[in-house]
Amino acid sequence: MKKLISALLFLLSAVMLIITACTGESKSDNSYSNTAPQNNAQSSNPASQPAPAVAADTVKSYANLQTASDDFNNIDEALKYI
Amino acid sequence: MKNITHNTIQFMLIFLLCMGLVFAAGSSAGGSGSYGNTPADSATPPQPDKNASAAKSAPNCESYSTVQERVKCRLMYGETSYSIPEPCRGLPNEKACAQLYTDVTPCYSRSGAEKDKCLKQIAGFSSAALSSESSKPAVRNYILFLLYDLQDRVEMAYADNRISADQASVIIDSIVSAKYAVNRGQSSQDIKSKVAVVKQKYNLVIS
Repeated sequence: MKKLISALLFLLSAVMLIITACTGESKSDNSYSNTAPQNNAQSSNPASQPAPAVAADTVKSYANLQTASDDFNNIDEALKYI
Repeated sequence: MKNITHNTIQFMLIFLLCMGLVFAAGSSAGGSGSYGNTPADSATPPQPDKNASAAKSAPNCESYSTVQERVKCRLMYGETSYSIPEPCRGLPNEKACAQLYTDVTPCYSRSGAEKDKCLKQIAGFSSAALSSESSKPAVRNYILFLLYDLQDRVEMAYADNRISADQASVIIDSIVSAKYAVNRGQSSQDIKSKVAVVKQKYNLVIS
């Protein structure tokens, strides 16, 4: 009888551990779903998303945005392309 | 029986330990998605209130009828309720527009070429140089972000007491007007004339 109860307890322990492991997995999934990547490039987070084609370009292709003049100059330049 | 009790206690301890680990992992994966400051034309103002006692009796900035008044109110008192950024209001894609603001906010903590790279990424550029970018919506987004950068500079000047709330709100009002033109798909010439007004107001006050 003792052996039977011990065996049942052991079995129960194993089942509970498996359930625990499964619960943990789904909780992580839920957490990550809050920060799911967006389809649109416009709404992606630069901190968490890899830069696609832009990263391949050289740094010197980027404007050095230090002052308001840099902003105004780049706006003028960008207006030529819309 | 003693052996059974011992096994039960052992099981309970292991189970509790496992549950503890699971909950710890869950809370560390969560957290807020806040990126910090957002501009005075949007839901949350960029600077903390200059006067804590004034903040207590802050008016509802949404009750003002003009953009300039609302911007000035947010600069002085902070935003008390959620609102859509001014340039997004009335657009069919209001929420997507507001989301774009949220997404680009982290870029403004960077500087120089890194900032430009970040802005272009969020704008949807597929290349680094403007001349090789074929997506016109991406270029429009980029112009919006540069205007947003100018606004950030105005708000910083106000926060540093270099300009008054009146001066800051006049410049930001003109920036919002230029952003409206970009968001509503107006011509390059129309946007250019509005940016010229921004430039004139900006250079008059901030040197």
